[in-house]
Amino acid sequence: MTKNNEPGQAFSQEDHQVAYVFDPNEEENRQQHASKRRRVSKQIKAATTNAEPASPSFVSLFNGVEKIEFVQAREELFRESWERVDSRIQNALRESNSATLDEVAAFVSEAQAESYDKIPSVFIRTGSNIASQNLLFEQLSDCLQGSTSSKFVRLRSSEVTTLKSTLKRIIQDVTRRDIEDEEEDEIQPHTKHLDYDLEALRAFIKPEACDHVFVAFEDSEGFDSTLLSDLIPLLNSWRPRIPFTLLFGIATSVELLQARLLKTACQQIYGAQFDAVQTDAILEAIFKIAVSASDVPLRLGSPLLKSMLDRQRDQMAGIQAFISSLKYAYMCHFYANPLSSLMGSPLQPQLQPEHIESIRNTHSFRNHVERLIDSDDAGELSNAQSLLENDTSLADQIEGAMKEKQRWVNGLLRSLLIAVASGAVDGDFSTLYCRAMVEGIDESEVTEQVRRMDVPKLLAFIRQVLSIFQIGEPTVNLSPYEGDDDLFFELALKKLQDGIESLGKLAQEKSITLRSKYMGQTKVMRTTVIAQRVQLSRDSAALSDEDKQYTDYVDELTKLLQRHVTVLPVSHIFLSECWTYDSMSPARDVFVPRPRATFERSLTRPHDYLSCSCCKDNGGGIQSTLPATSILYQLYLETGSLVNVADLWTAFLDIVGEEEGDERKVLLLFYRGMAELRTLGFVKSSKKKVDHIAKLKWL
Amino acid sequence: MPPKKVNAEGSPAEDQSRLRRKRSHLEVEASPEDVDATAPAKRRRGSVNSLHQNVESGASESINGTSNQNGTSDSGEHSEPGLEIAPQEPTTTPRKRGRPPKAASQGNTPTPKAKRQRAFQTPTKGLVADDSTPRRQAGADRSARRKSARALIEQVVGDGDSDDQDDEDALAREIYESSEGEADDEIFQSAKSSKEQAGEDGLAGSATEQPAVTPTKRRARKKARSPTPPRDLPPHELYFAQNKPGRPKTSNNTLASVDLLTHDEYFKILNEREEKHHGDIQYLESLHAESFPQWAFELAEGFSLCLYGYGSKRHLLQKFAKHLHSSSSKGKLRKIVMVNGYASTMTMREILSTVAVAVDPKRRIPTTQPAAMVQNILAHLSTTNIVLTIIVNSIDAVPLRKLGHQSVLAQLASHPQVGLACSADTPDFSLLWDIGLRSAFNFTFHDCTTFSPFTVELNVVDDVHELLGRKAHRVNGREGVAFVLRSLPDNAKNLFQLIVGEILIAMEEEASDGDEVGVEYRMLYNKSVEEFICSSEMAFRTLLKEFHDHQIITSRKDALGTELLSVPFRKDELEAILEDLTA
Repeated sequence: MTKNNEPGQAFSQEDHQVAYVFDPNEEENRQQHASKRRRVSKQIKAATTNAEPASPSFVSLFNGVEKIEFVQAREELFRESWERVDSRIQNALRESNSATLDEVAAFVSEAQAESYDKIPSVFIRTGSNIASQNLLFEQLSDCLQGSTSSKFVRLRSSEVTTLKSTLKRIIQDVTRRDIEDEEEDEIQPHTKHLDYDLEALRAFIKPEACDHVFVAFEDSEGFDSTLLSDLIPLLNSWRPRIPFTLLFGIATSVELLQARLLKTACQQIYGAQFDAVQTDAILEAIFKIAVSASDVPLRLGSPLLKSMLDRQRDQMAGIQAFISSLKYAYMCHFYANPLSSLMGSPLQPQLQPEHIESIRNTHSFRNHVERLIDSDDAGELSNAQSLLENDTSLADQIEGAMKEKQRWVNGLLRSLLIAVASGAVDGDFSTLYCRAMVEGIDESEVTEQVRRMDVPKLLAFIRQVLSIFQIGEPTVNLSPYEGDDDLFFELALKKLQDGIESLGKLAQEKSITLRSKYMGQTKVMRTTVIAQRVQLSRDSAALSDEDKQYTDYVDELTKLLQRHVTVLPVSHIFLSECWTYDSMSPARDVFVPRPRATFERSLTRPHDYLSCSCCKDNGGGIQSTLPATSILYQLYLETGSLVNVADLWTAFLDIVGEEEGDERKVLLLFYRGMAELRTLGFVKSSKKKVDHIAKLKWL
Repeated sequence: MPPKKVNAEGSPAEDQSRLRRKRSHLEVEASPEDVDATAPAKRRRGSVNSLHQNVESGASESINGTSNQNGTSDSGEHSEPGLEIAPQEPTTTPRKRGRPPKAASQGNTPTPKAKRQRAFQTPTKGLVADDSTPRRQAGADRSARRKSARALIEQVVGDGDSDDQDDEDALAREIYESSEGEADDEIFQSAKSSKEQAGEDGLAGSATEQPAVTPTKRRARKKARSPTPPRDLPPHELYFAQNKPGRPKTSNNTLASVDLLTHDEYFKILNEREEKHHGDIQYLESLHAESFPQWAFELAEGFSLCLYGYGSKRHLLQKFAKHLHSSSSKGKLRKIVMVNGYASTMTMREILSTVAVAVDPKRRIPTTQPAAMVQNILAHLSTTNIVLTIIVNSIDAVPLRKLGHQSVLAQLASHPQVGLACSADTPDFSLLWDIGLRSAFNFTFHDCTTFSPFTVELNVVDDVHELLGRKAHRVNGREGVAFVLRSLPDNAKNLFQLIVGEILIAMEEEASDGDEVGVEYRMLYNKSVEEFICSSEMAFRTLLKEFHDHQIITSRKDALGTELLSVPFRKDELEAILEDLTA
């Protein structure tokens, strides 16, 4: 309780309590004699609760007319799809570190035997991202404790500062876990140890035949070097009695750590260095399976993905942040997009008219219908008409359209993989994917590359393409081809492959090198384009029969590729709105807030928020009706680094005086505004002059 | 600053201490204008001066021969010719010396008769010239002595703007008197003859007796040198414009005339007053309230909520808590813990034990280190099916700002059964969390500008008084003291009178340099024994304790460790109190 609980004030006791358990029923009773404000809030609450019981967490869309089945369907779909993706991500995370974990475990077990006068230590280079270290150490803890009977203590530099507190912490961590297990009957009254006496630890682990006691320094750079230099010899000296093993998480390099330690401490270390998988690699793996994989339920739009990736690279946000943004995108999609319910199983209840109407309003629908009309086919035309006019025929086509999704995704991935195989594009898969999503894939680049290939390269390329079609790509869960079109493609490819192979053999027997007309005389192709063109025309004259045949093969291949390596932009796929999410706005604001801008706006233009009748900005300076803090803030913007409160008060009184009437009331507003400015961190008191305050912020 | 060194060496070192004071004075005064003074002055010199030379009569030249210095220290428009004509004036000098800080002081400088008349003859032109060369007289300030003279004159003319002027004036007088006849202008130009100075001193001296000239000019000057920077500067320029080194150019007005609010009056008016935007604020809040289901969804999905933006979000969060409570009544067991981060008595232990009670009212957890308590609570929570929601009001309030507190909260929030919703009031809240904490919290941020006043979070009256450096209003100043003393025995009254007296004396002597003045504990004890206020240190302590309890005295230790007693009142209040006591 603070002292300003003046009589006559309607402060409830809880307002000044540090913490309390919230119980609205009790509160209701207490505030029976409620003020006006309470009543208003109750009404609002009633309004929200009326809409609420429909679904525990999702709200009904279409202004509340969406049927409860659809709401539930969306929620179920969300849970289902996210769980699928999430479990994949967790798997990937676990796998990503598994190599490191195994190595560490192997080292630990052998180091135990090899070093008897030195303390075994593991140095794990984790990279600079503290956020991802957490996961690694969690896994280490699980892995090491699982494989051997051992104890694991995790220390962070912020939690322990002195030798004593470190020891206390180690002992507490080791012993506490067991106290919980065995319901606190573990306390041994006969041995009274100080809480930082390692003897207590020894007594504790003795009956358990513990192989290791791991002490992990998660952020070794953060620890005081003298603390480490003291601790290492101490723990080493206890090693005959307690089998300590140290783990250091290192963001920079082992050398730097060594330089910080005393030589005597370093000499007692028997260590090995391990490199944890860097965040980039993990990110790439997660991206592949959770964003771009062919069976991922929700496709994310390119701008959103790009911003998520940029955030990873520019702001070092950590893999966890990426996963959160991904999850948030799923949440937004299923929470706010009524069409997302169409993604569910075909056994749906009858669509509401609102669904049909909103489908007709989608971009992809319009594209679809326009394409049908443009095709000049009478059947297509009537189809377009029925789509526009007949609700049931539209509903019938939805299912087919949803299948289109999978075809499109597979086509995109295959094309992308072919482009990668041809060497037409390079870079991270994630970047390529983002680009392909927005620009599609430029088949001319691919053909260009293919034309320049010599026989072995071309054969290798064809093999790769064939495998993409026949086997798929496991890293992105791409299945083998399906459908006749692809079958035809495969057969044609195989024929080509055979032809080129035999041609290659023939050439080998004749010991000539095959050239297509697209290849220059020299193998060094990377001269200027103009030079090549000039040379090409001369070359073609000199082509042998084999070369001509080879050229034909290459032409055929490029023709095939051109037909297959094309990707429509996602907005051309009918009903793509159901399974894509590409809105930037909530994600950006929700994860990267811009509080300064928000404050600036709310204080300079309160009307934007309040939309009150009185404060509409008419460009005529500061209005007297603005909230006090807002007026003061705008005056404050004009001041220098030191503000005379007396002058500020005069100015304030000038502005507000007429509006308020009574000077004391104005003074109250002034007080309030000043106190708020202070709390917001805009001003602080200054001793330079009497009644002056210092300005702290320049926006 | 190298010029200052030259300055020190060049001055005769008769009185070291005084010199030091002077130097510090100079440093404070001179440095500000260095940056901006030189360039414009040079640039504009030509045109302006030719103008003036035309205007001026030969009279000025006769003066300039001997009293170049005086001419320059004249008010802006008339200083130019003197400067320009004097050949030995190096153009670089302005860099060494700045313009004196107070705009007003410029107007009251010593002015020979001839010039004074000119001031009235050519007011318009003078004004124009003044506008175009605001930095002109930067080069004119030649010495501390002149500055002092000016300050003294201003004191006479402007009849002392405020109390804080006093010590400055004393200093100025001291400097002025001490450098009488002294060759201080050699600071820059050792070549200058002392003959000039003699004349100068005379002139300066005579000028003090004729201050009546100035008012009109002074007004003109003020207009010309408005501290307001040009409008629409880009933000970075604005920063530098407002952060010019040196003394800020603010007026010397104080709030002395304003009768400050007391707690009682504040709340009285507050209760009477009808909030103007009440309806709009309510509406805004209801808009935010429409997102409750969304927020609840985010919480349920393992995100933490952070509401930021201007205005108190306490009420909104309270409504949100109600919403959570009502919407999850079926099935799940939901517990909600409210934490008020702004409560000054906050400790992490208290929060944690409340959380522990919420999880299981019957189970007592030992209050140990917060980290251990968290482990304990979370371990227990995992065995139950309770969904715990922690709602923190003002997570960026001062009591919660410690890294340790934030990491405890983050630890709680990262547990799957715990949801955390918090509000942040300042614009800089995101600096609270490093990347590790941020990913543990897993925040989603929402702009919740509410505009509702911080009725509970802030202690408005105390905050403002603290901001103004008047902490004593806690006991309502003078009346409060009188009230406290009335209930105490006579020797307590006498002791307080003694303390106040001593402190007033100390204030007079030390001429307060910003710190609070204090009297030594030991000295006070001895005096009180002498005056038979108390006979033993025990009794003395008892009396002091009473004062401490009512917060009418403060004690601190100085650098040497001696205990200093002080009274948290300003001088005028102390005088009033003393009057009351002796009356």
